[in-house]
Amino acid sequence: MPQKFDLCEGVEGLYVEDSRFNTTLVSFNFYMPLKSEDYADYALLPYLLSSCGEEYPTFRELNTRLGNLYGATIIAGAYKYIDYQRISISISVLNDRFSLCGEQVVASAANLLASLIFAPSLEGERFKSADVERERAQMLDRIRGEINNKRGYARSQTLSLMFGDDPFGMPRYGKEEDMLRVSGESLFSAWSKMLREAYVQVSVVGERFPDDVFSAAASAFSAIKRENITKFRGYNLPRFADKQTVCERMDVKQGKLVMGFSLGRADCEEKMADVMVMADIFGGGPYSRLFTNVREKLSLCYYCACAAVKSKGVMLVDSGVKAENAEKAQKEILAQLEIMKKGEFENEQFESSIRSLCDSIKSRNDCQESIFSWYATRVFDDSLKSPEDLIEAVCAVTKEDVMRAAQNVSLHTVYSLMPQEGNE
Amino acid sequence: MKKVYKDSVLSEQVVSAVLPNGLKILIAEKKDFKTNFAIFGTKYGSIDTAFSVNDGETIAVPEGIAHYLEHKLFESEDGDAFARFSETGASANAFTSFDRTCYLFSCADRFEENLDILLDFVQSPYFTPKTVQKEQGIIGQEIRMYDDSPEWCVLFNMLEAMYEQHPVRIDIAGTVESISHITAELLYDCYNAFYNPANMFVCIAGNVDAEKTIARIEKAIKPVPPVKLTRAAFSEKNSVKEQYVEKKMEIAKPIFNFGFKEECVGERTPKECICSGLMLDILAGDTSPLYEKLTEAGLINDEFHSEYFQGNDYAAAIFQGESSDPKAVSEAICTEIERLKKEGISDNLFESARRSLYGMAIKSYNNVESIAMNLVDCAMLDVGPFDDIDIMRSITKADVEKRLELLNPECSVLSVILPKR
Repeated sequence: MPQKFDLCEGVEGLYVEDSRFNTTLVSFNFYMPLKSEDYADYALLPYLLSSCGEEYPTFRELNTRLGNLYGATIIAGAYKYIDYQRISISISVLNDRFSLCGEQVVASAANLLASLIFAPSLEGERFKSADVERERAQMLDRIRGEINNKRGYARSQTLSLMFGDDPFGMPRYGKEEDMLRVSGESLFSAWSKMLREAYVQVSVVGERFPDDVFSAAASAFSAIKRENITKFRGYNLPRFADKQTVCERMDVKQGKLVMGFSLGRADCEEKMADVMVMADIFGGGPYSRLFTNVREKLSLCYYCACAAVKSKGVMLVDSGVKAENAEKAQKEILAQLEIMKKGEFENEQFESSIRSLCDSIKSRNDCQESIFSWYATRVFDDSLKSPEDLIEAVCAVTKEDVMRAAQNVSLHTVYSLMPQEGNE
Repeated sequence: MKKVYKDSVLSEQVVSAVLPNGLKILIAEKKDFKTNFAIFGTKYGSIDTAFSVNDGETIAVPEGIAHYLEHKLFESEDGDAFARFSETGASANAFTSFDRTCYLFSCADRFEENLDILLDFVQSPYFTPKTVQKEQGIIGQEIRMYDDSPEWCVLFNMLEAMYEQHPVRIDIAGTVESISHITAELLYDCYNAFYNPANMFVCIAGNVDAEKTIARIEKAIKPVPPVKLTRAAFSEKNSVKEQYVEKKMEIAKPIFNFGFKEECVGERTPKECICSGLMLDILAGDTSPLYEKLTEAGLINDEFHSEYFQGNDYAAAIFQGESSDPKAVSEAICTEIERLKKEGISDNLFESARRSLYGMAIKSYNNVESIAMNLVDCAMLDVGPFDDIDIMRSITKADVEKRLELLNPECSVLSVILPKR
């Protein structure tokens, strides 16, 4: 059973004891309100903090240290989560019993992680310009490189079109023009604000109670004047932009068709179990309406699947299609949604979906990273719900619940990325 | 013939068995996990484009047929395997690579039923002209999807420039044209040659009883006569066809693969593979002077990495990444290789890289999927499950330095994809 502790104001410690894994995962998650104006700073900050620090001023020195800690790995990133930006820096390290010379590697790795977060490499009240330049250049490559993966690019474009001014529509790494404005000063200001104002979850998934990690975190935060701490403001449907249909042309061989839908409501996973089952029957596993009809029966797409962001009330259907089949595929996807709304899906599809969802939820506890992200994405739900609770919610869903969930779904945006005309 | 492998530090145990028909079975019992991961595979991949059976005539088959067969095997006379798995809630999939085809499932519940389905559908081919024809549209779409992947194109452009004869140069899924020649008869020819138990393996990790599972597999394997399978040999030169190739695509920044072809003879030993991987990490990993220099010059970003790529009669050390100037990166790599050949590897870098690799190997036992995949490598190479960890514990700097000598700039290929706009 996970244990939760108040380390200091707005800072929780979460320990999940699990001796099945050969590693320990220590994470700091900072939750800040999702805002367009500082999105780029917080998108870059975890990469900057995890690239070097006061103790290891170059990334080569830091990486050599990580190598000597038996390839301890730092996982850093910023993620959109409901109406918040989750800035996450974690370290995964081998448990002490595997060290070749009896070293205490877990404690060393946890100390290293804390030093990167609380003692970065600074010049007065700004981050060092060489470090900022290096990490910003990498970030600009990531932003510009989004186009390299056409499926991801098409999905990101659809979300941007749907969300308009709502910052949830921001591309994962932010916008190029915002990233160009980020500076050592703006990052210092974002970092200081994050330490003062973020709601923080310090989590450890491992085989030994992390009293040293928790006490070091409590002591580091108690030295900071914590104020104006991020508070949860509930799940709300976003203010969608106007409905649009957009077709972009590029020199590609396969077209991409993405349809963005509103779910009509937003809530936590447990309260959206009906939507979970609906989306799965519609376009989840190989038993789904989209797979069996659009791909297998009509051979219109190589892939045609749907995924719901339940906390924001959105669902995307994305498919890889030949340009000449795009219109037919779109009609067929909508026809399948109508079948969902009328409850005309097969009983076997309903049962297959419940079985498959329950089976995969049971497996979530068998992966250290999944355990970590289970709790990191439930931080505002004010309880330590386990995968078993979600299974219970899924099993309670009826065919009528699925039909009603589908009836709330409405098409909002259609985005397609198609080959240049004459080259289809 | 059963054997139990144990690693004292890892506290892991793997039971292996070889059935009288030659089928290899490797099972890792993970009693404290809920998930089970099972793979039924064959040593048959995209490079097996010409072969003979029982000393008969050598037949050449269309490129991409192993992958095509993988798609078609999910279908049987009375439905498809996915429908059967949806009765149990398991998640099933398959993949084809250069040298293997694997069918797999993961599940928390009803493991034995799922295992029965897996063993049954892989042993029940059903190909008709109509069903074979129907798949061409979907696989054609898959090929087009990969045609739009710059990472895929840059690799295959490099392999095409590196190898003149060896079929590692062809795309795993073939081309829209090559798959149009695939027929039901050819699929049966390939199936009967390569899907013989003696050429196959079952690898499982999860909450299972190894003894009972082996008995269950033995019962489910259908009796088929043994075949003598001979793969056609390819006379591949050690030199490369072209040293530089480029293509334009819709991407943001040039991407590259820079590969060094090694001698085209047989398969490398596990120790040679581990030493080459370590050598590449020391040469170009994120603790190396080269990585630091190229990053500071703005010539690489964190996409830069290296891998040792090898199989039957092919091997190459490959550096991959994004750069505004791929030629400058390739020159810097060659200069660093020369420096390391002259000056040798530093003790600190060697120890940091060795520990890192050892840590990753131990970490791979964290979940059942990676354990099962490791077992597939063991079945393919016919080695013990913990041999790699033992090698890492005892490897020396001199072992690694020997692998550096194999990097010959004259046998290198730089493949670049340039942005279209």
